[in-house]
Amino acid sequence: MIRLSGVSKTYQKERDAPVHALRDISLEIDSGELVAILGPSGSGKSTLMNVIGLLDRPDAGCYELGGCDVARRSPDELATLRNRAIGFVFQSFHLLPRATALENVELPLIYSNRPHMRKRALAALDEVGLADRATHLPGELSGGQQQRVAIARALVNEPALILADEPTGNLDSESGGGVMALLRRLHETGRTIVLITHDAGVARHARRQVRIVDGAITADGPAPGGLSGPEPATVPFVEGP
Amino acid sequence: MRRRIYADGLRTVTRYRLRTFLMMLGVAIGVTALTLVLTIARATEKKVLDGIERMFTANNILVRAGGGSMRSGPLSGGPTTTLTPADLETIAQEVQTIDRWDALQMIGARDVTYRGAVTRTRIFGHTPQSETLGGRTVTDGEYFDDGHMERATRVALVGTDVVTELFGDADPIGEQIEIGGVPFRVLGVLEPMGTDLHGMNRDDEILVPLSTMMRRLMNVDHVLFGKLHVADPDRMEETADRIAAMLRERHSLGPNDPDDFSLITPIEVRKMVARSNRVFNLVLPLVAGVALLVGAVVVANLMLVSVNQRTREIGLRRAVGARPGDIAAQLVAETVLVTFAGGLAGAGLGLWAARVIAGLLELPPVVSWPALALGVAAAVVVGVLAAVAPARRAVAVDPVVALR
Repeated sequence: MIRLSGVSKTYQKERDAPVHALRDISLEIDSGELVAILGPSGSGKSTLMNVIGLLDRPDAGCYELGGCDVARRSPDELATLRNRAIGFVFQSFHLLPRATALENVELPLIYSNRPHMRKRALAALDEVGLADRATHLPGELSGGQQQRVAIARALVNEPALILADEPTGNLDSESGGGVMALLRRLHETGRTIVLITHDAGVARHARRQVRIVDGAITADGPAPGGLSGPEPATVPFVEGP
Repeated sequence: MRRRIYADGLRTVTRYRLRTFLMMLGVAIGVTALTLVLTIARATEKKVLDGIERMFTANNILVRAGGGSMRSGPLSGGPTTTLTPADLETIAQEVQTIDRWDALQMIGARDVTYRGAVTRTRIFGHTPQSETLGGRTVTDGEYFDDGHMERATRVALVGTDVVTELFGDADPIGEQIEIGGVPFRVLGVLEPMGTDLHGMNRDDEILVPLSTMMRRLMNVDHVLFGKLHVADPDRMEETADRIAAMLRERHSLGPNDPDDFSLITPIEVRKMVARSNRVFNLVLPLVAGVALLVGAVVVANLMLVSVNQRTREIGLRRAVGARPGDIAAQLVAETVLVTFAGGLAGAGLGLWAARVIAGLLELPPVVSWPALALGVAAAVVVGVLAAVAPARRAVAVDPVVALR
């Protein structure tokens, strides 16, 4: 579903030396996979997520999403593609503070032509177990609940791919465990999920881990203990090192 | 899809109430000024035109004793004692296009008494034709007639303020008052008229037959003004020329003597009104336009601040699929929505203020629909213009940076 070949991205700020955020990345992710992209701070994993999420364009290399090359797409086409194919989950939730949970979940539907906006948004909230919080403002919800609202927002357009950037980074261990369990459950229903994290404990939830250091992939394979571990619902959340 | 974007714009506007209120206020002040100024200008214009209409009933030629033109100041140039009722009567008889006439003589102020109560007021002498030519009748009692005029009967029509001063709540009809020591019988109460074009309180005056005025109160045989009604308005100029020629002849003026009278025709008056209206119609909207411009700057500033504050939100919207055009459309929709509402509020407020001020200035109540429409339309234009810069900035937001 995702195929990156020879992708590079360099940031050049005035007077500073160029930063090679991504160096010759080649990566394939199949439909239905749960992949963790693991790397320390500054390793380029966020840039990788922005490229995969069509928020940023690579300087070199080729990126195919769902079989089509996205390099030459116009900004409008990329926006439409993001709307239909990708759901984002951010570390700091990025909910609109003055909009209710339901209105936040509706946001991607505003930019699509799908009918029954309210019904779909309610269904997505129900899927993350927050149907009874639909009219609450983000400030009235716990961190874990806010992230679940964000996940509902990512789900509402039924995208092929969910990109989760440090989804538990702002949560306590219990809430984080809940969010990870939710993501695993979504994966089990067939969704493709890419987890971006610096936290090996979080990455353990994935069956495949891609390690990235200094903008280059250093390892790509099954998560140590990930496959053989107990079922996610019963796995206690483990804080990373 | 656009419908959802606009609906979301509406929701956003209601979420940030203080900002929305301030933006509305910025526009509302400008539109209030615009509507107020245009409505008051319209009301003033109407009052001037109504006054002229009343003075001329559209088709009157005014003859003023004394030469010079109306713009050279009052009663200047030549003797003012040569115009007589006989002049006017003769003109009315000989010039076929003239069917009625009236004349005016006046005393600036004289003591009027009734059983010990005293008031000082203006006295006017008119012919009975003034009821139709002057457009003012009585609300109580009756107007004087040709019989009163012929016999120079001592009857008076009193203004409502005079009634209040002298009689209080009592019925004045048939009562005897003294004007400068001369006894008069109150025949009627004049229709209330308020303040006229010159700022005179027309309810504080007394009207008596012209002959009575001239013989019994002033002992003169001339009048200040004559008013000649032209039956055929298409022959106004021709009639005015004829009147001038007749007056020169009757007053025995030689070819080199200047006129000892001046003629004012409705055409000339309309030209004067048009000149004064240029001020109303040009300068005042300009002032209001400046107020509106200030409103636009306020709105544009608030919108720019709002875009800066909402960078994250804009980044998020881009991430979940908003195209750059969608972001711009929503911002323009939000701004126009708010300025439109501000425009409506301002127009309503301006209209209300205009009504209050018109009441204080005794102007006729006028609803200037063009002013209202212009106010609201200006608000929408302000909204679109004020949204341009913020929308450009919003479109330029990089979601990667915004979501960091």
